[in-house]
Amino acid sequence: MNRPPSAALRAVAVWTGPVLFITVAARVFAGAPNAPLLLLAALVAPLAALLQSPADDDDLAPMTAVVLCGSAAVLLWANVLAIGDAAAALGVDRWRGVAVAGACALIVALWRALAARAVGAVVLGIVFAIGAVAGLGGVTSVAPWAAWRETSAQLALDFADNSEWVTEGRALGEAATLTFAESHRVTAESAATWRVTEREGAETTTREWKLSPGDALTMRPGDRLALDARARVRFESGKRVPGALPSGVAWADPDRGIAAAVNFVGTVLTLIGGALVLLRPRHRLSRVGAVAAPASLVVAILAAGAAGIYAAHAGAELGLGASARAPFLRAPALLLTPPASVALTVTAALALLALFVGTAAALRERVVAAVAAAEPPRLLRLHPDLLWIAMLGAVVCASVRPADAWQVMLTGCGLAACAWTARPAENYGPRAVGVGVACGAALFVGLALARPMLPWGVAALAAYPALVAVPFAHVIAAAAGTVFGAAARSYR
Amino acid sequence: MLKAVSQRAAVVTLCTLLAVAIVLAADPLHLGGVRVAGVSLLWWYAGVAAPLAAVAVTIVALALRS
Repeated sequence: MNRPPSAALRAVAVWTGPVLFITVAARVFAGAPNAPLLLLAALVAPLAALLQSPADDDDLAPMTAVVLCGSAAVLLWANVLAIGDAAAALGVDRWRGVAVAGACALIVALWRALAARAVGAVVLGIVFAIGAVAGLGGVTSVAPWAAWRETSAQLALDFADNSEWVTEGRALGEAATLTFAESHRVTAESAATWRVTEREGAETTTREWKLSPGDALTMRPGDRLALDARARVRFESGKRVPGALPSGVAWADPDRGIAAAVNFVGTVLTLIGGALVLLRPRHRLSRVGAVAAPASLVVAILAAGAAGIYAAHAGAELGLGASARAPFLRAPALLLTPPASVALTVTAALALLALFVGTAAALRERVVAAVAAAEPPRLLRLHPDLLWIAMLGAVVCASVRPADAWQVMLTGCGLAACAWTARPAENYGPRAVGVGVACGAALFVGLALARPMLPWGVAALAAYPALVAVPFAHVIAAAAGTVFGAAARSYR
Repeated sequence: MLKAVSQRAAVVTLCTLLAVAIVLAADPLHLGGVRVAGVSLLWWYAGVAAPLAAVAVTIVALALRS
């Protein structure tokens, strides 16, 4: 059997896209209850997938190929959204980031010679990511665990005296509503309309204020201030950052409880289901690959976690406005002055872009292979990249509008998990598998779309539609196999 | 035979590593919050020990197979 050394990289590249890196880092930064568990799950899911026996896409059922292509498109969407988020966090127009990502993915698709090697960009991305994280560690002169310890020891996550938000004021970069936990005098640095929602007992009152530069309002605990993207504001030094957790202790040890555990189980099962389909190696890994693939995964994901810790150590104000989408990208500007801050920021941005190129190239390979296996129409046989380019166009258009990239990634993984039913149901025959996968995918899409309209109990389950759709697909495949078998016997 | 056993053992180990993390996070006794060298036990486990163990187990299983 042919065992190209990059088979391991191809599997890794599908997983380690910018959406995973940004989400892990942002959750760690924000002190999300499931942050350490997410970090572990993001690693264990692909490792479990790598342990599967290799399988080529040649024997894919047509319906499985369709679901695989659909999930690849959704994953590409999640990664393009993540690049858009990164651009917004850096203060660049979101659409510019989306356009750069789209152009990179298009070049990979059109330039055949590059396409085969582009998966290797994931290595470059991981090296840049390590460089950016090591740079943050070097600047602060603390190891990640020491940064965690120091952050967790902070009595309050407040504005520093030399913060740009305090000295000259800044714009949020995207429309946002800030919730204040204590009395806080906020000064307008540009003419703008502020909407303040005050709460008096059970009643809420919303007032609009037209403010000129220099005007100030004092917020009370519980007040909410809605600001436009370009409204420049100045906060008070030593006051808590609106929306941030109250203290380092709350950041280090947030209230988790059973709800967080249930939520985590849904996430991890969806991730594992998606990884089992999307990352299944097509060839047996070489000895080098058997070491390189898991090692690359752990380095990339631990780098993301460390980036989140360093961002939290740099300051909770990174969670304000657009920079909250990728706080670690703004951390160098908070800790350093140009040109060092610019160099570190560019390194981090290049890491995300290189990871994206690797992911796009690997997803393209999966789509082209799946299309080839599904006996496509003549046009697609002659031009196997056509479907991928069409998907890319749709994804770029959809990504201009902001969306939760992580939720989109979970949707892609869940949809892919529906195709996983093919493997245990193989004994029922390809037609039965096709029916099962189609029904499972249809239920998945239906639950995902109908979630806002469902009653509470069902909606909670529909938050992770794969948990229902995957067993359903398998049951349908088994039932269809029985029916088709009985029909064949009666025909004979 | 050895390959199949090592593969199954690796999968079971990965599942166990995840399950322990969930127990540490949701434990009513709050063991995950206990600080060791200033860092919580949950973070030492989910951020250092479990990832390294998971990778080591996977590498061994994949190396035996290849």
